[in-house]
Amino acid sequence: MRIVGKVVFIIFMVLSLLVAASAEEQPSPSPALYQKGITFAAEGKFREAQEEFKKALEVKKNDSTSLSSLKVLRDFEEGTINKDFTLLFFKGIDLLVQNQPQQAITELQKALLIKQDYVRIYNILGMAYASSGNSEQALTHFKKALQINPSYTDAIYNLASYYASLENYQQALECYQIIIALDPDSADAYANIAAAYAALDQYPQGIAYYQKLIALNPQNGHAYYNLGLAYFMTDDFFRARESLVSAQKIFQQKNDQENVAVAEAYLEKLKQFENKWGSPGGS
Amino acid sequence: MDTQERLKLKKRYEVLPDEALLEMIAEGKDAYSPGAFELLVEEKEKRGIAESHLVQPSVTCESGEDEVQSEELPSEQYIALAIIVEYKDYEYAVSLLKNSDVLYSFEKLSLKGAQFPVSLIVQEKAVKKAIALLQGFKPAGGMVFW
Repeated sequence: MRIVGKVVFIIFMVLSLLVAASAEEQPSPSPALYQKGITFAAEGKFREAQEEFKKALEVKKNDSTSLSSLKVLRDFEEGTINKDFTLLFFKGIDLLVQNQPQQAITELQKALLIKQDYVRIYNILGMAYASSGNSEQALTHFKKALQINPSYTDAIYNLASYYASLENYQQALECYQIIIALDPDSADAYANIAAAYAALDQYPQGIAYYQKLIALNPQNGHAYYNLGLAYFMTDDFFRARESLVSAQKIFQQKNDQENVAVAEAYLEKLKQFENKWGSPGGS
Repeated sequence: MDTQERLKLKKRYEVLPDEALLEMIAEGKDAYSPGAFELLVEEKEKRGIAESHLVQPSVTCESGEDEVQSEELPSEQYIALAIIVEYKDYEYAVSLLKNSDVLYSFEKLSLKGAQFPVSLIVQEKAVKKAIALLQGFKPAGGMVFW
């Protein structure tokens, strides 16, 4: 079951480093894969780190942590950042992933003394401050990243996720809308907008975004599932059932038994609900 | 104009919104250093846009000495202060900054080549002044970075 709310947002932000709720259907790579890469990189074993990140990408081709880490290592190879900076950068990430945000901030601030115009460090610092509970510094650093590169969607995602984690869904929505303005095909942004509307109990708006998400990828079982829940919340049981059945079929086609069971369980609850209360909405 | 300057200008004109490009052309050839106006026209023709879309005065850096100075400044000395997604907000930002000595410009951000969103960029050393001028500016659907 896809859960909407601050817990998902904040955990995802800390662990995956980049985006909030993903619209992807691929399995997540084992955290151990990119964790190993980060540890290697923090020890200066950059080649080994690259191999680990590539392995993680074999499991999930657009795993944001691995992609982002490889870009940093490429920047090192190209001379954009030096070895000391790169080491401190990955030490910071390593500590952040180990849930030691204060120590991470210390290492990242040391890196910042070496180079002040590297956009990614402000994004990571924003996350570290967010994890440490320093809201003001978190927002300052995400915005600093955007001052350097306003189309840096990773920072916009994290800013949005942070707003959502603070239950400031309106601000989160504005950030996600900007991502869509930058890239109208951003499925993750549609998924997050729909989730934010749901968190605000604005289900009709959420439904519209789940529909857009489905238009982008008609095989997105999670989108159908969440659409079903949103219809349920608007008392449109007919469409709720329709969407949940679609989700169930897609999960079956993908042999995703866990989510088949989740969809079936909800369909059963819906049936009980209809038996008890009737079906006031839909046709 | 040497090749480097030409390329720099060309790159800059490529990211201007259509409206801004047309406004600059409307200022006439005499308003520009030799070769610059031709680059504007070339960009307009490349996009296949008509001059009837013309609406407002220039939105690039202020004219005269400042404009020449801005061309010579490296891009690192500019930072973004806002993302703007609607034309009316872009106009409003221009109205707040155009009579000041703050050097500013707009850069297209859309990955799909759309006119909006754009970022408002200002000279780094004038950031505080720009923020003071932009106080209260809240672009609809956009974002400010201060």
